[in-house]
Amino acid sequence: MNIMTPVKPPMPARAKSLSVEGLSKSYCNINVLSDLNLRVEPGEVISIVGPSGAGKTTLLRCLSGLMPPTSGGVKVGDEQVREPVAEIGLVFQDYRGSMLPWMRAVENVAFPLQGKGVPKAERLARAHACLADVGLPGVGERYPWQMSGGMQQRVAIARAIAYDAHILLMDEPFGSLDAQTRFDLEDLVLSLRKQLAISIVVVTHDIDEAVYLADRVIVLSGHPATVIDNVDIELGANRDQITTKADPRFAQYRSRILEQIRRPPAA
Amino acid sequence: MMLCDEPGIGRFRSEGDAEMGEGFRLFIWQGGVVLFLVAIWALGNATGLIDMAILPPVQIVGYQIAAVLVRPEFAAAMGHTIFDALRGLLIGSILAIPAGILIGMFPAVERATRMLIDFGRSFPVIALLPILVLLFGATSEMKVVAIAIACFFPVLIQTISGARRLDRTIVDTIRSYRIPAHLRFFKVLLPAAGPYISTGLRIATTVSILVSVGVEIVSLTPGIGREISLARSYNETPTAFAYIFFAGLLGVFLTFLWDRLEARLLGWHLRSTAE
Repeated sequence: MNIMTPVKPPMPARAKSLSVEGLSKSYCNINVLSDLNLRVEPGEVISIVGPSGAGKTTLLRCLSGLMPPTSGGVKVGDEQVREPVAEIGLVFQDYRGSMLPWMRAVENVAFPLQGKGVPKAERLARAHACLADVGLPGVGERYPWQMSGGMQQRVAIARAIAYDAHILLMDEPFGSLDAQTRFDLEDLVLSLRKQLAISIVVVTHDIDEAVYLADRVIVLSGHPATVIDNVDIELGANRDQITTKADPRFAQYRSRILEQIRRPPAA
Repeated sequence: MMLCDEPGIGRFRSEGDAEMGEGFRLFIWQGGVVLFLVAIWALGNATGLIDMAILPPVQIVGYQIAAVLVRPEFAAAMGHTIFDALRGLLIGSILAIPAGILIGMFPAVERATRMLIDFGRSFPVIALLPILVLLFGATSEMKVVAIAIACFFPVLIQTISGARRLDRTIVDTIRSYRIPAHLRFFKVLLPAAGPYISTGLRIATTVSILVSVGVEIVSLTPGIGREISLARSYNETPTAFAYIFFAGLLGVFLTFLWDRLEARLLGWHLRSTAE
């Protein structure tokens, strides 16, 4: 680990913030999310944690434009998100379902670029480069069934990067992976944010993961869910699985969040 | 599920070898069943339990099978039956696959057309024959139209269910990466429906031969069916049986070919669901 403070990469001019203003969502008259406000600055990494059933996935679907909010809105820069937008790349928990099984890894990564009209040679070159960026050089020719879960999730991340998303939304991205693979992928996320200066929003139920990855953790709770806490994580830019997680501040953040989540909802 | 270096490949070969031995044993068993039935047939003839006028002696049918093979009209009849069956299959499928994907893409369209499709698929195409003959005459074109109609429905129904069964996460992925409609059609829905379409085509292949021979028998358009019909009217029952034998053999052969093609086209599916 480099102990020198890294030079912050220059923010791309196009980088935009993601903001949520007064967002509420209800299904069949049941309020799931109520009056949520949050803002993700360009280059910032935030985690959204909450007890299961708190509406984390609903929030992420609203953020990505896959689902319209009942009221309030989501903005990328100054633009209202009504449908999925080009600035946002999504990574799902179900990596198996999000890969197209009839396409090789490189084709899966290049496919959204084809939709953007990028010429074939260019999109394949970019796909190979992005696969190398996520630690998968030389496996572009494999089919999803020839890859482990961790590898497939790396391909999903490569796809979001190749798409030139500068806001990465991840829904429980490592929830179905074994512990060691999860740690490796968490470190991959940290190294990508340093290299690429992208904003990342990770929805997770794993508090350790939330604290380890983020500059800020947003705690959701209650029915309907609201933001009950907003924890700035000041653990610096260089983190690693052993020392960071052993840091007393890490434990403090962890217990503060855990307490919030386990607190019985106010009557 | 966790696969290491170049999984699949090595494992697949060994599975293939095991299948080879398995396949040979299966072949012996299948051959055994055929021999057994032929033996019963011969026994029935010998004891007089089977009426010779209905089922001629096995050795005579056997001889006719060989004799028919060298007749000049045999190759022509076979050619007509296969060519028209394939033309009908092709036309029916080319119409059914895009229609099925479009119907499967939109739930409202699927609901709206369900009754019509159920009606169409249970409608016997042979019943349409008088009308088709009126429209086209007793021609090959009429036969091809009948086959196309008969092949259309199994392919359509399978394609619809394939296009509808798209994984939820794939739907979200496609939407969030804003994949345009033409790519969604050709690169997502079509391959996703591939295994279902393949089943539909396999059913339709058998149907195409059935309908081809059936229409030939009824309308005396050139083909194996016509030869069966003629042989019967000349009271050459063994010859009729010989042609029936070849019609059946054609079905076996086409199914075999289809298996091979499917393994080649849908390797990704067979392997990703092999776990």
